[in-house]
Amino acid sequence: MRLADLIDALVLDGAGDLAGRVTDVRLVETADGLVVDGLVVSPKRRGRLLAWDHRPVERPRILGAIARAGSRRARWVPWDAVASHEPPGRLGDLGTVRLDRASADLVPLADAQREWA
Amino acid sequence: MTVHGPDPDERAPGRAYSARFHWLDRQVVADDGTPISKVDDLELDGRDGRLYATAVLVGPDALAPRLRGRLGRLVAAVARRLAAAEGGRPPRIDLADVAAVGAAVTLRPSTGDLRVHALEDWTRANVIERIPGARHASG
Amino acid sequence: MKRLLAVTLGILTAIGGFVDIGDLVASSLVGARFGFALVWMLAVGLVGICVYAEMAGRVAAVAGRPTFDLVRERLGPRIGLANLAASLLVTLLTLAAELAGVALAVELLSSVPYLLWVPAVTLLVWLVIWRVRFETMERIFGLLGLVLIVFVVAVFRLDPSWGDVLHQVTHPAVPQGEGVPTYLYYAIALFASAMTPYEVFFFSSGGIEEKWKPKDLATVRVNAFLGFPLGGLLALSIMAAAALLLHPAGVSVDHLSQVVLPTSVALGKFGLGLALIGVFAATFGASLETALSSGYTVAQYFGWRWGKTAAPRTASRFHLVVIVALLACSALILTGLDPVKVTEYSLVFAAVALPLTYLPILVVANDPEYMGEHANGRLANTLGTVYLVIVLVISVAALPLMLATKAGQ
Repeated sequence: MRLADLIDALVLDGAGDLAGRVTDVRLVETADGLVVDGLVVSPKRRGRLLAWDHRPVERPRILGAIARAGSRRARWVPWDAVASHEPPGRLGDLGTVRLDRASADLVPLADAQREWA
Repeated sequence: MTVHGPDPDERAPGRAYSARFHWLDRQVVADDGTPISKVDDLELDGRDGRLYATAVLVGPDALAPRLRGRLGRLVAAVARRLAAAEGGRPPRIDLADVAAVGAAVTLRPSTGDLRVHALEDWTRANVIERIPGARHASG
Repeated sequence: MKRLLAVTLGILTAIGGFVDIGDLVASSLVGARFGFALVWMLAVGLVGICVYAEMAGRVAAVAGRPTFDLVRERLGPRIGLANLAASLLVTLLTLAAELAGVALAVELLSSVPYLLWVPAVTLLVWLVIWRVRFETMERIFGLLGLVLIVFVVAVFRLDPSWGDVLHQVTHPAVPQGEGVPTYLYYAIALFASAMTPYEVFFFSSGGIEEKWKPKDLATVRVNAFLGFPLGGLLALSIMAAAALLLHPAGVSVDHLSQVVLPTSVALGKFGLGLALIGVFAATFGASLETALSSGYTVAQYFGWRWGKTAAPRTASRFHLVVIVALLACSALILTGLDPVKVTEYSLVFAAVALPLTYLPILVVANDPEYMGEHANGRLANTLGTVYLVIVLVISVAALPLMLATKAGQ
């Protein structure tokens, strides 16, 4: 499969409700290779362009503030929280990712970023 | 053209990336800085319940799904026609050949013929080399 | 001397932004209709392009990435494609107009109708791209374009009352008989053409062709802060000459012959001849810039090898794009379309391309992973952010104003 199947995919939480869309994927180098560590899920499409791929963006300050505001509702989904994922049915459509827990149980992205820093 | 800048980061265990920032849509360059292609997509392989990125996917075939919707389907149709013309597997660059990820994605020096340049080869043979002076570097 | 000559990339780039055929006519037209009332906008546009050209040049020198690479990297393939389409439309419409502009300059020198010159001009432009060294091309057309300095001399010869001029410049007022919407339309058109995206595409790509490295940052700055203002000065002098001579006489400008009229009046046949040589060089330079930019943007979106420095066979797709662009644009202009009208309509596409071009530059120029210790300082960021806001406002206002004033009628 491809990364394009994950990026922008619809995310359904454990209860089957729409939690948002996948807006970024975190990859980590390990001894076995480059592994998908987890997903960033954002409820509103609006957050995407402004949040600049969800790295902590600082400068310029005004745009940094906009980026933070845009990613305020973004949540971190570690790979073990993913129950299943399906590629799009037709080329150009969206994939689907199902989680094993409720959205409320997901860690906000900002907290996860603090841990990684 | 040479890649230069704050020491292109070597790939090393423990390093973390944002797929959208560090990988997707980045320029792939050879170790001497020559542009090869863009990272149009990444190939993922499932292994022991985890997903591993195994290759960089290149070309209109790889780009089409990322364009989404009707535009993506249109580009995929074009890509199929181009691929039918020369046949073969869709171009991929094995991730083992990627040495560093910095301002550009740099490949290892030993990376041989990558077979990602079908359109370039066709254009060179059928158009550009027929014009006098094609081999002359203007500098 | 070498360091000073290094400024020719900036000058050549600036020629495309300030004294290409569209701007030559627009500056003269604005001077003839509004006097000195829009000089401030020329200054505003000039500062904007200086700030962003320096940023784009710095990213090229430090990170080795040309601007259109950044557009797709930061905005993604979909929005990047939208920018590619919009920028290509602006660039190609401009290229078509420039080819006509060169032909028009030759027509004024030879009295042979310009359409007959277009095919020869197109071939000549292509030959320069195919065979002439980048640095040589830069020097010849950059320096020859500076011959337009004859307009500065003409302005002094017209002996204006400087106090009066200074007052008009600093107290802009819409003249009797002109509406505010038309004034604003021309203000926007001036700004949009000073900051046309193909300038930063060409400047950053040219810098990489010239093999700029982090140690060349001084060269980047000389180009940005000396080269572009020289271009702006030329546009200013054309506007001033029209303001001094054509405005009081109520002469309207719709053809190249009126643009060069002030040099003929102030300096006679010799001045006119120099002006026409300058126009020829400037429009030829702008043709080179836009033809190469069309290749740069397409190649950099897809990640192809590009550039005129290496042998053409190593960058075949890039050269094919340039050839197709030249053929298509000369075909377009041979249909007899008014070249200046053509550049006016490209304003709408520029409105789309502007924010999508400058946002990625600002973002990347700040990013320590690309720039290391050379990321933006506070001044660059303040000015960069201010101009991004201005660009957004202009983008939103351009289309409605264009429709409301019927493109400045």
